[in-house]
Amino acid sequence: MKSEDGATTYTPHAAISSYSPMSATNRTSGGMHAAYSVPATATAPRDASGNSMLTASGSQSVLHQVNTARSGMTGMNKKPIPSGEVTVHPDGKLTVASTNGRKFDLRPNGSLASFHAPGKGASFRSDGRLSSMHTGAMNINVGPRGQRTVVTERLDHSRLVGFGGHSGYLERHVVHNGHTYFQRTYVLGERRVTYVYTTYSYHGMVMQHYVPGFYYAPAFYGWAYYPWDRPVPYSWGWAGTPWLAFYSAYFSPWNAYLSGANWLTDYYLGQTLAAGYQADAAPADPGQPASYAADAEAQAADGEAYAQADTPITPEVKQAIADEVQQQLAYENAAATQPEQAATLSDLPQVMTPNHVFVVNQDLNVVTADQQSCGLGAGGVLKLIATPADDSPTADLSVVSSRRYDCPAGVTVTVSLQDLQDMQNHFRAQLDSGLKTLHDEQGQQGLPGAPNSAIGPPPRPSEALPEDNQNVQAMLTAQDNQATQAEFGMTQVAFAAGQ
Amino acid sequence: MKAIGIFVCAHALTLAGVPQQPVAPPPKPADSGPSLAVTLQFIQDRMNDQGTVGFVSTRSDLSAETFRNFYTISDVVADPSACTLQKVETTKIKIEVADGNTYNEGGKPVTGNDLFRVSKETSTIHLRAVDSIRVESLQDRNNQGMAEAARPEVSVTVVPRIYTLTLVSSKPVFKFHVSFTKGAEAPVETDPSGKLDTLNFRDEETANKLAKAFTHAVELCGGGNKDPF
Repeated sequence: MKSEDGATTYTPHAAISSYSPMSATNRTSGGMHAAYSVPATATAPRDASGNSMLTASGSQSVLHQVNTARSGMTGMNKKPIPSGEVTVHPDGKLTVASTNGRKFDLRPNGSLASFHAPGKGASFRSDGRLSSMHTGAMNINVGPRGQRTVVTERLDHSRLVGFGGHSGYLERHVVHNGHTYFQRTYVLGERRVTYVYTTYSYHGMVMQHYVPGFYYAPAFYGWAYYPWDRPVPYSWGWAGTPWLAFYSAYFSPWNAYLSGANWLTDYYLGQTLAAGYQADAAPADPGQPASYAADAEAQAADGEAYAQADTPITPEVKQAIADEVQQQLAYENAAATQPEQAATLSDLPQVMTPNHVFVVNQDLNVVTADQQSCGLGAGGVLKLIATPADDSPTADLSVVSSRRYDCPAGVTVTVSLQDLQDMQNHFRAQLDSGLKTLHDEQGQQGLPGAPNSAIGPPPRPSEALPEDNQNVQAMLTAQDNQATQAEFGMTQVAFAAGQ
Repeated sequence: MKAIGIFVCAHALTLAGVPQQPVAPPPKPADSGPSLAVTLQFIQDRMNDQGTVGFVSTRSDLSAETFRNFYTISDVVADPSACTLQKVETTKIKIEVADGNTYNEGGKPVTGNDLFRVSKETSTIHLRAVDSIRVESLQDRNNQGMAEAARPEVSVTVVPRIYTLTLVSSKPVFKFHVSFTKGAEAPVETDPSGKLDTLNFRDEETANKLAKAFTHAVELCGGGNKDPF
């Protein structure tokens, strides 16, 4: 059988008795060597999709070959696949249906792509590392640099989202003065901050819409929007911080600011990267985050795209972000005067225009236009290619800036609107926080003084919800332990023999 | 990666395919005055253009002496990016003693060339460090100084009436390099610092106009009084 790219692959109905594993003739459509050959007499007729379920002896033969190949692999891939019925797919991949409802999806070279058992499932990178996992109430996503995001749906209908056990948030719904809100209590190191959201419907999906903590006088938004009288030298006090050292080749703040929008841009990026650093487990060696796969190159071998080097946030890219900040200030001013129209005026419906720039707020797994998977980390910069169709739950964006091992710059990735909403919420939350800092510190710390018309009218606080006093940090720590146990348990269930 | 929560606001807006809403830019804040660059240029030009201001001062306790002063501000250079203003103040003083009298310093008579002095002060004003600015006549200022020195019985007269603009800080942030020459002696170099920096102007209008410009510049630079009370 010829694959689409013309490479020769196995032909179950061929007259030859067997294939020679790893020979030049048993490349699959993906260009990967198959670790097995199928005995000519071991196949059953193919189904409509071209899948062939092997006979018992054929399954045993193929599994033996696969497990032999796996014995030379590492990590999860070193463990032998239990016996079961083998189905061979046209692209050379295998599915093994084992006992107790266990199902293994294997790549042609024998590495484990995914595993399913009743009530749980997991996917793996080609180097054997976990990519994602779900159990009854817990979902785990692991980024290309080993960053683990754990989402737990709790019995009280709240949701706990943890980033590597170091940071995360508890989200719960609150009814206040007859309105329903979502309240997120974020924990980031020593910091604890609460954000409030309402909901609206967009493209048939329910979206969360960030509610600013304060609304300001129009002239204050104007003061931040228009250029200042002079360049303002400003020192952030970030020098010597581990996160800035970590991102030094990727991001550098301006030395002086021509406008509040530019100052807010560095505030936004700084806060985003500092949080991303915390979430990436704040590695002991600033040059080597978390558990970078030394063999990350192997990830590219099978359907994974990764950048070989940082594509930094250049001054041009940062100015593009600053332009978005300035535009968002106009939206926030409009929304402040018409809060009931805030979602229309200041949120996703307003910004889903071609070339709009988004900054990734947390680790994200996405798919490229050519169906490769890749990761995006906090601080990645994306540009919207086109406004998505009305019924589309996703949008296509090009990667503008990204870090090593993330999606390479220049590729097109598909991102869910929910994830873009999350980025927009993060953007607006950081803008809100930055505006508060500007308001409180104008005329101090080297910032220029704002005119009285801008700061004279006191900020109007939005609805104050009751504080959530739960110990979120303790919950995140417990969740992280549970996630580790769940990963271990998944391995136990998957590879237990004799079940 | 993200899924939305179970609970959905009953009043959720539905916005499928809503076109982008035109939004006007926020209003510019009410006129906040000239830019820092314009303001500092104004200050620089006015100070450089003043030329030499001459005045005579006398003291009631030194009735035989007349102090003739020739005061010049020069080399003023503003730097908006650093919020600074460099300047040089040169004061030439000629002490005249009435016939039959002797002018003493440290119990020793001063005569001849030693009655001529030149003080050259070089300094940089850091506008962010300025807390307040005041204008008063040099005569009033000197008399106030005498009173604060516990010598209110001594009165100082300055003719013609000239005006001082004083930049005030709560800390001794004003630093000067002073080169003082008495007669033919070698200059004495010192580097004092203080909480005040004083500039002299020929007329009250100029002093007030510059005080207004300085106040605006200090505000633009983020200086000013930060005391909560």
